[in-house]
Amino acid sequence: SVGIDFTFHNTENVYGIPEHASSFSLKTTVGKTDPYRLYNLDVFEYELDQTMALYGSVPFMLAQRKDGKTVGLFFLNASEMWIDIQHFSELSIPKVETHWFSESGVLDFFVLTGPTPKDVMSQYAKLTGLPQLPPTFSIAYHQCRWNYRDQEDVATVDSKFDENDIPYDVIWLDIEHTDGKRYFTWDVTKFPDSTKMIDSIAAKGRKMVTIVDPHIKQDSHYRLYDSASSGDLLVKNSDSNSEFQGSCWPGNSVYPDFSSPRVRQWWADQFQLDKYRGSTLDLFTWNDMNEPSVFNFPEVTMPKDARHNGGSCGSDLALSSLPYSSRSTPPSSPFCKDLEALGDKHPFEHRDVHNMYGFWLHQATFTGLILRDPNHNQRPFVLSRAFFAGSQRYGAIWTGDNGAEWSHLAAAQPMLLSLSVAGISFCGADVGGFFGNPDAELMERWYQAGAFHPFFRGHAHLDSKRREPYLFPEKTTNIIRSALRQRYSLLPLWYTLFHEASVSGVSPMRPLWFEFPSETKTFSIEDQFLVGSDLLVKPITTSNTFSTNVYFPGSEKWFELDTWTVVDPASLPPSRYQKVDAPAERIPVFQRGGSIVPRRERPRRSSQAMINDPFTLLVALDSKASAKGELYLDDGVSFDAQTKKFFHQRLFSFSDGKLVSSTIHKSEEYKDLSQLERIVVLGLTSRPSSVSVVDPRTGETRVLETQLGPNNSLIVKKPNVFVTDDWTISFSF
Amino acid sequence: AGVTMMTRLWLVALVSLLCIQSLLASPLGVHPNEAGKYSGDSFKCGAVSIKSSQINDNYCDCADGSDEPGTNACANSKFWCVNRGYIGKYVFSSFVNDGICDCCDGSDETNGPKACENTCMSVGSAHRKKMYEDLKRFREGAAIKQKWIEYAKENRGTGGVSIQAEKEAVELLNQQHEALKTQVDNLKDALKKARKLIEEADKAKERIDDNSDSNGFEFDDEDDGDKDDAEKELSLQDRFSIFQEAHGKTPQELVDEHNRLKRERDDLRSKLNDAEGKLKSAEKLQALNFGPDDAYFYLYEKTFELRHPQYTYTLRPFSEVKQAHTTIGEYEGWSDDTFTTQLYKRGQRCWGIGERETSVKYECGSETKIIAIDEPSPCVYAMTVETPAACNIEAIHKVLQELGLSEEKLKEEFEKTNGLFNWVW
Repeated sequence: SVGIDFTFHNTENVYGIPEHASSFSLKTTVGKTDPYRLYNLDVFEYELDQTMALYGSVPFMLAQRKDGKTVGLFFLNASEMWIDIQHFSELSIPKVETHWFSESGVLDFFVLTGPTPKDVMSQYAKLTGLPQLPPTFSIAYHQCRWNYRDQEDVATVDSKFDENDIPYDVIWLDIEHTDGKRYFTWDVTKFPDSTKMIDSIAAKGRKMVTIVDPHIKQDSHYRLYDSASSGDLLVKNSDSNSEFQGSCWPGNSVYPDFSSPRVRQWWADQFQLDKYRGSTLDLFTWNDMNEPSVFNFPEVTMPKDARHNGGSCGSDLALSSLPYSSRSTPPSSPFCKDLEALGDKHPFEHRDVHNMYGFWLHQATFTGLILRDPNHNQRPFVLSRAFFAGSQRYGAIWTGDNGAEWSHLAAAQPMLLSLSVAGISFCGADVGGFFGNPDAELMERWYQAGAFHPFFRGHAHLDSKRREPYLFPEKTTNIIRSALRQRYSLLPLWYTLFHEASVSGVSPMRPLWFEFPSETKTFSIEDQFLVGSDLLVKPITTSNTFSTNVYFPGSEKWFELDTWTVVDPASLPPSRYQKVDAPAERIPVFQRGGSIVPRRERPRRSSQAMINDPFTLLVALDSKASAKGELYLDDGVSFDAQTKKFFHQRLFSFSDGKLVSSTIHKSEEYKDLSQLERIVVLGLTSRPSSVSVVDPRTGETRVLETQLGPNNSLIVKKPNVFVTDDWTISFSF
Repeated sequence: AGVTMMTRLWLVALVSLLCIQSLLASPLGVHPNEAGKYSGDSFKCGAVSIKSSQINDNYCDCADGSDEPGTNACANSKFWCVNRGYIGKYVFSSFVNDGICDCCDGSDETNGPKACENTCMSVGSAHRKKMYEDLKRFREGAAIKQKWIEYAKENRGTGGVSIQAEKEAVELLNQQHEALKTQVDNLKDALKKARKLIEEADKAKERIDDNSDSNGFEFDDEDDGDKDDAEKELSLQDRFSIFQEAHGKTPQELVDEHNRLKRERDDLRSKLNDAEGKLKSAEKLQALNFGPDDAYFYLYEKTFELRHPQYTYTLRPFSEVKQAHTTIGEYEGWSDDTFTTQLYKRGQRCWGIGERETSVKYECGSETKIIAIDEPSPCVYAMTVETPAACNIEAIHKVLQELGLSEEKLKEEFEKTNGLFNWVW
């Protein structure tokens, strides 16, 4: 075992080192509890407010100093790790002492000097890789359940969403869809024609996901087992010779040795459409149980003396020929070089790499989904439960098997903030709670919160009652529909933020101190968060609650997103907390004065159906009557934006009575036909006498109709200019 | 006559022209009944008045969405598909111009990413064909249902017997039973008296003869077969003389009579039990609701099975549903007053979930059979049953009426098109 201590001076708050069902700002453990433990485990019905290990591990910590500067600390080590923390807040210069110890490996530490939180995130992304730019459908709403029983059930759920005018993008199949938990197969009595099923879902612009777990049923008649066993691709027992056998969903199972590039290549190959029979390019993947979960061994995982045969952390041969790989692969670290040096010849113990097992599976699946497309030009979507530093390169992560409890809804905020600051930017918690039966009110509040989480999926346990949004009383269904529509209307913002993450490493879901790093009062806030820099969100996480106290950071106004009510910083008490209404149908969300948020406000049944829909710009002015915002647009599905620069990036800025659309990047090859249908300006002090636009395509000047909206808002109707054009809209007073 | 004919033709033409005009005047997505609202120079929604040029201009001006019936600009408006040849319907505005064909006439996708073919003719033909077949099936089913209704008229409320008659029968049996019981009891008393005499004689005899004959007489003086001192030994001659003195009958004759009457009494008691059970089930039956005209009465106390790959499911309507030997619901009642779905609750418990329950949905068919079983949630089952009892011919007539059709018209079209219904509107 190796260990080292780090002390953060002038610091009261440290964050990160997910995954724990614990507070966002990490607590003192010395003399109080077990240290924070990082050891990927399949934990049944996990408890809250614990330092115990969960499904994933990122040994990355951030310290937010009292002077507003941020420091990052990354320990690249994939063995079991413990981190003890002690706060010394009463000192004149407070400090936080941290004690790191891992079971094996070397002390491979990186100190990231910031100085801003976003700088630290970018520095961390240079080490571990940038987040994938997710395909558009994957940032919309996902409908999952263990299990949609058969093809008819899938068709019924799909049409019920339509009958109730509720949008969704992806329907999921859990383990029961397989032939006896043999992944890459179908239970043909329930899914006789999966291709037809996927095609009919895809015909509505939607997608499907099936689960593919890493354990392989030990069955000599199962092609995958036969191929893995005869190809010598499996994790071995401590004798380095016999196949390691454990028990999982299918019963006796074996586990591919994903530490080896050769095994990852083989795994990726299983996703070829002619190998994964009954799959299509509209089917994506969910990797579960990849801690790995082994039912019949201590702590429900692989014994530490199981043997692996050679590995590498980074580039895979399969990916190295693709232009995209250069964007996603981090430079090799000493740890990775050590692994690579071992090669195939020197087996090493599972204890050395335990926390990376799930990461490698995620990576191999991601690679497989790229390679199955003959053009290698379809962005994958893969959800994984286990993760490690760098998993952001391969897709989404969720917080595993939570419960249908208000406390679990509340815990989602600190858990997702911890993941987000540790680079796992595409993260979410099962909406409704996995175990148990949520009542209507919990469902309403969870959907409202989930609509502002990066990954947004409703999921439910096999034994729970059906809970698709249309099964509730009308009031609840209406509230859920509104929450979903809110998510869909803000997809342009989300996509712009995911793009920002994919080039800068800064996650879309942010703690308040990310944007207000010198505002020390924000350092302990974990029940509010920001979406990007402009939306302040405070989910309601207790029952029968119709108002709440919100902390308003910064010196600018905030505008309530539904009613456009203004919160003026000048009228706030010194605490900067103000009570706001939160009726059942509303989650408190506020847009920052000084921002412009692009929206698509026409309800649609899926994100695909919104492609050419017109935009609304919600312009929230600051005290200088100015604002700005960005919009990123590409085809949402291919790598063309990254490899060929087929994308549009727009800057919208409002100042001196002019709203200007200017080009950050333009593409002739990718055409976007969306127009601007509406501008809403919040925070104007007087009504303009006229608003006009010079149409850039015709040269004609058009006077635009305006209308006063609630709370001194001004609505400008039908500018009808293309959002990807340069134009100026003038407001005369 | 020629002029009249001409006038008629002219009128037909005029009417057609008016129809076409009103169709033209009706903006895209507006139901014909609403067309009037959209005909003026301005349009009103709530307190707001807008120019008619703002109707369907792809910008939402009205809070109720009524200014954009033919676009997707308003979140809460509805689009009317005319679907000529099939059935007109509303679709959500969110479905308009989204590249997915929702109206068979393609009218929801006139300005979207993808044009839709007009499939109303084939959809309409297929629908009429199905209506025709449904009608045939419903007719067959309804004929059987009529028989069932008559059967129920004769037997319903009685379960084969009238409650009044059954009550009277029970009363009569009760009286007979009481009478016999009295006779048996009287005989028993007589025998007891006799026994006393025997005992006295016995005591007298004891002094003379210590050894006694083991052969005694027996009578079954109690239901539970309790025997007592009556078996005390006495010389046969002594016993006979004592008995004959008292009753004019031999003891054996008396015992035989007692036992005979007791058997008769026991027979009566079991008849009484049967009659009471019958009355009880008749009363239960009277409380059950077998739907309009008691059409479902015919299914009462019958058993239906479905062999599924995993289990055999058994339905006993108005009683219980089973999955193999597991009860997945006991009859609770109809789910509403349309009499199409029954609820069966309080089945065996499922671990971690609760009691199993089943809903049984009845559909029209010419014979009664379980056609599907489903488990939408764990331990919650949904069964679909075809039965003549569910054949509601009025429902079909209503659909036909909406289509502007009648049973006769449908038959006529069937014959004209050789059963294909493939004509052009």
